[in-house]
Amino acid sequence: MSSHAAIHSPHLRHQFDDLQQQRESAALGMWSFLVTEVMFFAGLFGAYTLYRYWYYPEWDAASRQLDHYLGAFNTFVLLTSSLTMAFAVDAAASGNNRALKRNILLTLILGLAFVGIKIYEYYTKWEHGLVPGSHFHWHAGPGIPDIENVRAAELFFVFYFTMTGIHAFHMLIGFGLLITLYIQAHLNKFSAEYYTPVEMIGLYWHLVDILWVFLFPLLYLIDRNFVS
Amino acid sequence: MSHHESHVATYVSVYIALLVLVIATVGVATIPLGALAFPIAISIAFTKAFLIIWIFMHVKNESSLVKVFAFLGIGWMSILFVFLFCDYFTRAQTMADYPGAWSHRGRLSAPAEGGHGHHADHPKSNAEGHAH
Repeated sequence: MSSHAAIHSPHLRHQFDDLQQQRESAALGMWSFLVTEVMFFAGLFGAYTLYRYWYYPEWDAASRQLDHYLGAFNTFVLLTSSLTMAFAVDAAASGNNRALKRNILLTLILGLAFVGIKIYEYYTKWEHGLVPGSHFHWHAGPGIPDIENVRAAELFFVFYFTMTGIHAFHMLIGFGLLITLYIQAHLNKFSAEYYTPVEMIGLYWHLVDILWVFLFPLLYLIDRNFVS
Repeated sequence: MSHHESHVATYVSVYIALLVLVIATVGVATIPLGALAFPIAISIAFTKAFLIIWIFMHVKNESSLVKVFAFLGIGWMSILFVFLFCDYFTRAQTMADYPGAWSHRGRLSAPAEGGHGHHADHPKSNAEGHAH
């Protein structure tokens, strides 16, 4: 034990040799968790692929009911929040607590904007009778063809609400984590020597961003060529 | 650990690259590319994911062990998709060799025909009466 005395830090847990080993253990553990998240979504993406092949014309038509400009804007909002999250980790690594707090707050605001836009989108789908269930009905419009098998389009919206809903739920958990980080930063818990929680929550936030990067083209952009 | 080089400039360039790729993925969806549209859209998504993993998530600077874990999820997921697509990419040939192999499944047998002939398979699907 005495050999570590010279480099002993109050942040070092006794089971680790040094801070670097402690940090790498945290990174490995976090990535293991993120792998389970990827596999969780893999099941949904697999089922999505199957039904997209099975009911391609209806899923193509149903995808056109979504506002892809709003979806693209939300992608922009979420990517920007990833940038501010990366800035937050960078600020923590250089011991700049003010910049850390500012960037956590910016990330939180951008995340809230994303969920706000998502709620607005859900509301318009509700208004247009596109929520699966007894009120679901299909209406053709400009660029949106009429279809016979309405139930197949309804199935698309089951996937739309399930996948974006689980994604939005991850965002809500992210809000809780960011608020916790902000409070800890406010209490000066982090320094250039120790900021592992900022890094790990950053990894979580980026993963939620990556999931949206796949959800956006798969749900909003099946085919936007209007052949009418 | 106390010495830290700021990565802000790198992050901003990656961010700009990501925004260009968002515009590209929307653009590609509005151009008639036929069968190429889906592979291109997915390739753009994977490029974006890689940039985020490699730079924003610092996997570039992690140990080999963490690097393996970071890409393990995609590896396991690809097993699922390789076998799914083994079926779909060979189905046309299988149906040519064994006519009627999927006929009891209705629509599953005719995804490539552009949505024709499913009236008989789904006699109860005339729900467009709600539309007007």
